[in-house]
Amino acid sequence: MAACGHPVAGAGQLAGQLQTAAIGLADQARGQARRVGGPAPAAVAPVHHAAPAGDGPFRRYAVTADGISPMSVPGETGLAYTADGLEHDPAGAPSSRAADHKAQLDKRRRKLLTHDYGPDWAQITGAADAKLCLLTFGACRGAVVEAAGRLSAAGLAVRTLALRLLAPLQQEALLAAIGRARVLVVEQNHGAQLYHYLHAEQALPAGAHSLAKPGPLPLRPGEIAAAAAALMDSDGDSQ
Amino acid sequence: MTVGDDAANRIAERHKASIPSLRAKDYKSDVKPVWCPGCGHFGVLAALTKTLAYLELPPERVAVVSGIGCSSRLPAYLAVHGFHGVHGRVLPLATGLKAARPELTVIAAGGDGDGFSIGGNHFLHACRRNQDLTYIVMDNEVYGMTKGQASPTTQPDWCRSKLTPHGTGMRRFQPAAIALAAGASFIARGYAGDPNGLTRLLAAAIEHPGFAFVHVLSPCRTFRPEQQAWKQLVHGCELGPAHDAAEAAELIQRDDGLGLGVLFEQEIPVYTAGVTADAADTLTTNERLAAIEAEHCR
Repeated sequence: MAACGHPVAGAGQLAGQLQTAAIGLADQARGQARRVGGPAPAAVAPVHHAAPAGDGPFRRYAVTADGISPMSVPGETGLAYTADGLEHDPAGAPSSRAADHKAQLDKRRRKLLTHDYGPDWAQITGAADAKLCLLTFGACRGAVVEAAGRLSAAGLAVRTLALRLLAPLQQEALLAAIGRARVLVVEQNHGAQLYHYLHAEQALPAGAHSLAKPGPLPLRPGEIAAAAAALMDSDGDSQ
Repeated sequence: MTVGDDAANRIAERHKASIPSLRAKDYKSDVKPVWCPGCGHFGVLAALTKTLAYLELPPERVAVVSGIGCSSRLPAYLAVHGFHGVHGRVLPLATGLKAARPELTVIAAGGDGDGFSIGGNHFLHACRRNQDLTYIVMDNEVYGMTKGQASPTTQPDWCRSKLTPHGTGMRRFQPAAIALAAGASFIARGYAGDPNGLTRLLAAAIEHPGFAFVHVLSPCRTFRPEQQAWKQLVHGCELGPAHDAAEAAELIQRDDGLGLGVLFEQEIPVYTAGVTADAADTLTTNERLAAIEAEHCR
C-alpha cells in the first residue's frame, strides 16, 4: 500500500507541476484495501503562476523554453482565459493553423521529455553486475523481491527493477540499470503488456524473456524463482 | 467621520454602483464565432454579455463551462474564465468548479444533444443537487456540429436526417418538465431571437440561489430552417412563474413548449460542499429534507 501511495502522490505533484494529466495504475486488490500511511512527500516545486498581463490577451499557452506556460486561476484580474479542448493558439483561441498545432504539440512533448524526474522513476535492488534482472512494475514487486532473495540465497546474483514511471519511459536510465544482465519481465496480466511496451520502446536488450500470468491468483515468489532459474539454466549461466 | 458623511458615502456608493463599469462588449473576446450566419447562438452570446454587464460581474469572477457542440463553443467568445470540456460533461465540470470555488459565478452552457442525451443523467442530478449554478441549454432540436442528426428534443416524425429517414418515432425529451421532476429550483424558457427578454431571464437565473435551468430556443438555420418560424410562434408564458411544483407541472404541461418566461422558481436550501448552506438555518438534516419534501414534492 505504501509503495502504491507514493507514486500516486508523486503523480499528483507532477500533474500540477507540468500542467498535464497524470494516470495512476493500481492493482484492484490495492484499490479495495485501506491503510493509514505517512504524509505524502512535499511538493518539489510550486506551480507556475502567471505574470501580470499587458495590453494584449493573456497568453496562457505561450510557447516557453521548458514547455510550461504561465497559468492563472479564476479571480486574478486580467488573466482570464478559456481552456479549450480544441487545439489552440498561445492565447487559447481555437486554431486550425498547422503552425499552432505543431508549436503546441512540440511544447507539450518538450515539457514531458526534458523534465528531470529524479530517482523515483524506479525502485532498484541488487548489484549492478548481477547476472539476472527481474523487471516488473506495480503490485508484482513484492513477489519479485522475495524471489530475488531466494535466488541470491541459492547463489545467483539478481537485480530487481520495479518501474514507477511508465511514461514518459526513462529509456536510457532503464538500459543503464539493466546493464549486461539477462532480463525476465514479470507482470500480472495475460498479454504481457509491459514486455511488449518495453520492446516497442526499444528499452529491452536482446534475449529478454517474459513471465506473464493473469489474475486473480497472484504471482508467487516460487513461480518467479523457478522461471528465472529455468531461464538461466537454458543459457548455461546458472551458478 | 460624521453620520452625515456616512450617509453621503452611502449615496455615493449607490450612485457609483448604478453606473455600469463594464459594457457588454467588454465581456466578449477577440475570437470570431464559427457559427453559421443566422445561428440563434449569436443571440444567446449577446444576451449573456449584456447580462454580465447588467449584473456588473467582474470578468475574473465569472467562469463559463461547456461541453461539446456548436453551442459549447461559447466560452471562447467570452472574456471571462472558460473551460471547453468534453461531450455531455459540462455539469460535472461546473459542479466541481463551484464546489472548489463557491465565490465564483459559474455558468454551464451547451446544447440539447450534449445536455439531454449523453449528459442527461448529469442533468437530473444537478437539478436535484441544487448547487448554485446557472445552466443554459441552447436547444435547436438537432446535432448541428455533426451535420444534422436527430437529438433528444427532435420531433418524432422529423425525417431530414439520413440516419432517421422515417423519423425517430420516439417521444421528445421534455426539458422543463424533467427539470421540475428532478428538483430544479428555477426553470425558465427563453428565445435566442429575443436577446432583451433572454437577458432578463439570465439575470434572474444567475441571481437565483440554487440550480437555475434556462432552456433557450435557439434556431439552427442550417439544419432546421423551419425554426425561423419560432419568431412568430413564441409567446409569453403569462401564468408563470409558479412557486409550487404542482402548479408548475400543470403550467408546463399545458404550455405548447414555446411559452417564454420564468416557469418555476422556489427558494430551497442550496447545496454547498462541506459548508452549511445557511448559517441561520438551524434545521437538522432530516428536518431540512422533510421541509423540502413538503414544499417541493407534495
